[in-house]
Amino acid sequence: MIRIARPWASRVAAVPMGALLALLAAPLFVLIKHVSADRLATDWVSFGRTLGFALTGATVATITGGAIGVLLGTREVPGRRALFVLAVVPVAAPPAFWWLGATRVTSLLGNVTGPWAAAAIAGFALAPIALLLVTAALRQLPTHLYDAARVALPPMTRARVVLLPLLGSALAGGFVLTVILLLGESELPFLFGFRTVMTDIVTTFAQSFDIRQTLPLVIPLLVAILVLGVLTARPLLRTVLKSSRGGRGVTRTPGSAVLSLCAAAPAAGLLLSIGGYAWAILKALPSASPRGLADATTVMVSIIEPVGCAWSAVTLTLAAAYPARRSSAMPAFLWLGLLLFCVPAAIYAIGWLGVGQILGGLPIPPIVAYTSRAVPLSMLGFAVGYSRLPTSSEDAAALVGVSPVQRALLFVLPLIGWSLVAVSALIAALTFADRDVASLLLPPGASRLTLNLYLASANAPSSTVGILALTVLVGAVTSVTLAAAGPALLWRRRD
Amino acid sequence: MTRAIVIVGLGIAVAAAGCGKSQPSSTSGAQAGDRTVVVYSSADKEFAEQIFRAYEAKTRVNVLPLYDTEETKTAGLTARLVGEKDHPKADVFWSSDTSRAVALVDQNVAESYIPEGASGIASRFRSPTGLWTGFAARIRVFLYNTGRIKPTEAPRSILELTQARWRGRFAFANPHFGTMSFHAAALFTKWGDARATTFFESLKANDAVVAAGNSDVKDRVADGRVDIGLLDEDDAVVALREKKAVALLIPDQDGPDALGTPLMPNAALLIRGAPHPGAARRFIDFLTSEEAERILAASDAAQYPLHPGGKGPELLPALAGLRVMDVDYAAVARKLPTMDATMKTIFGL
Repeated sequence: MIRIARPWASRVAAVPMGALLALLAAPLFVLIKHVSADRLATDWVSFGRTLGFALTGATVATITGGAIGVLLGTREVPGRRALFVLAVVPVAAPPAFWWLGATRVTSLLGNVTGPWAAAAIAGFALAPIALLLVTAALRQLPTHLYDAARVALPPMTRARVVLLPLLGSALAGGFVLTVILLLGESELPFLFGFRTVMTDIVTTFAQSFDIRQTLPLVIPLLVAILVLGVLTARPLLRTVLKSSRGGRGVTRTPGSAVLSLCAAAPAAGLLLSIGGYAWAILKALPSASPRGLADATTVMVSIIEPVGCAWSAVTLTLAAAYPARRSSAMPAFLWLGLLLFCVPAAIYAIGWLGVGQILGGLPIPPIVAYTSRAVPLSMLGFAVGYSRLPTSSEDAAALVGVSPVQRALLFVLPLIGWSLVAVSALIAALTFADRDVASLLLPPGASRLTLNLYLASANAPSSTVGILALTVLVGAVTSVTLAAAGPALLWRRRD
Repeated sequence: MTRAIVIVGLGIAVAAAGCGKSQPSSTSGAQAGDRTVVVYSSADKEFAEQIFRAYEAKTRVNVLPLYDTEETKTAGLTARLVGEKDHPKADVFWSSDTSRAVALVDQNVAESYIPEGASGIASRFRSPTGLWTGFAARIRVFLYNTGRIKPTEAPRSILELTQARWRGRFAFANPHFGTMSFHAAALFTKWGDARATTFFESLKANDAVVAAGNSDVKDRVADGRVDIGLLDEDDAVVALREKKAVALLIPDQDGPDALGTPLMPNAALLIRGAPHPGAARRFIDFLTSEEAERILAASDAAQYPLHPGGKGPELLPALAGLRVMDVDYAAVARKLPTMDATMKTIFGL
């Protein structure tokens, strides 16, 4: 639970966080002037299907990611580290990327249609979100509590009575984040041939390019996402902020190779997809060549930008949220942050474009839009980590004669390092996979690997798409690794 | 503390790097303006780059492009053009289809300019007031799998796809996007809403396969998942050049009342308030020239020159010998919302 400071100190400490959130919401205020209540409309068939798709996909993702997270977090199975890395990799690219790769292995997969199949694919591709959060939570569980449960309870009872309640916040967080991402997803519905509110928005806008015509469709979806955020925010934040604290993680017990095989399921899907892209290249040899597909600047910036975004978001969050950690306003900030994260990246980008226009045509770099959406996510990561910090640890640290900043860096932040590592990786992955913000805010003459892959997939030969896809994958993995390495290296020795 | 500073410093450095290769300021002087032109392009990147390179080599003017394509079902660049209307960053918009150009003209994004060589292009392929100018066009074709269909059995008209013998054997792209949306809207314009609606209902009843895009249609035909596909000629040419077991056929050519195949030009727009107006006009002159059309015809883009006498794509018959669907491009663009709503009802997409 968040500790409340004295009222005046609480109010002062909350100012930076409040100012940061207000700044993040600025682009959304620019869009509000286009809204007209009498023109709002939505198609309830699309709406129902959108919710069904998102909830089913998130359920699959949470079960898959949660199960693998528990397995790899509590058992020392052969190849555990490698399996963990392979299980996390799918988050580095959008679900459609993996699906398109798999369809190149056997074209029969290309005939699969419908929302349930799409939800299953989305679920498997986004499972790392729950996996990362569960892994972070397992590292902070009270060691003795879980060891005692191991001795006293059979496995199923232990999972039901001890593990699930202790991991409730991580699972709930993973579920909600996945639902939010899937509500804004349009590629999979197009590929699997069904309508959602998001595809309606895209089709309407693609013909009129008139934001006033599109907003009547956007607003109900946005309201639905925000309502969902409101409904889930209270229980989510309650579980996040009141969960167990002071643990040093579960002691892993030896596991068999059979368990390794279970955890290898995502890796198999991954190999199938990568194999599809690689097969397209092999078929085109020796004519297939990577030359001219991406220049060094594009590769470098594509990798560095998500890392910079992740680090900037975490740094901004720490700078603003750390002083406010005991503020009475903190739960409200978290609630607001969660709602801000609900707004799709393209809407942020259009809003920032509007801000730039108001400021006399000021070019807004994509990283600004990325970071503005990433800060709420890192706020959530900070809150998850901090809420598990034992009160006694921080009180004890206060007795040491160092400055507040040093105390934070030496005693407090190292203890929540793993939460920050998880959100940093997640932010980098989401940023790397983006194309909407890139196409709206990139400066002329610039390009990004992910955007280039989409452009090439329109008409380029399969081998070209294959080479670019593998380049994108390597870039994404590098970017996510670097993003995670920042907070990990910074606080590793103090963990 | 030092580490925190390092992190903040890195964040700022990366933010600066994120700006990448940016355009020179619009107020940086006429000389810089003359050497740079900013082009937003919805044409396929690999084809557009050939034009940009040729122009840079010829004029030493630096082309700063941004790409988007209708195939990827985004409208980022066009949204951006509308969003940047008060302080434009682009000089020229190269639209891969006329519908997008007309929609942008309706949004008051374009400025009138009649390119130097435009008089050679038929008046129906350009705006009478110079708000957009068409050049280098694509056509719609059938691609069929030669392992499954003999040349004599292949359908000669899109109307034949409603026949029982083609049930479940044909595919076309999502009709909400790109050239398939143009084709569908052209039929609504040509036939009227009632007849066009009946036609698409018949296609649906005949188990039409709706693919994600034209490229997907090509793959489905080449793989043998469907026997025949309706797509753009450039996608079909890619399959032919990759030596797939496919053949190309131009639909609706036979008989005095034949419908004809849609001809879909690219369109060049000068952006209202363009930062480099002189460079923009010179680039549009080149883009709509016979030279640029020759490059596009010879490449895998396989596009037909609109200047009379221009040599067409190698693997396709000459434009002069084709029956082309006679439509008003502005009318087709304005028919898109009606067509779109009907397609949602029929195909549930």
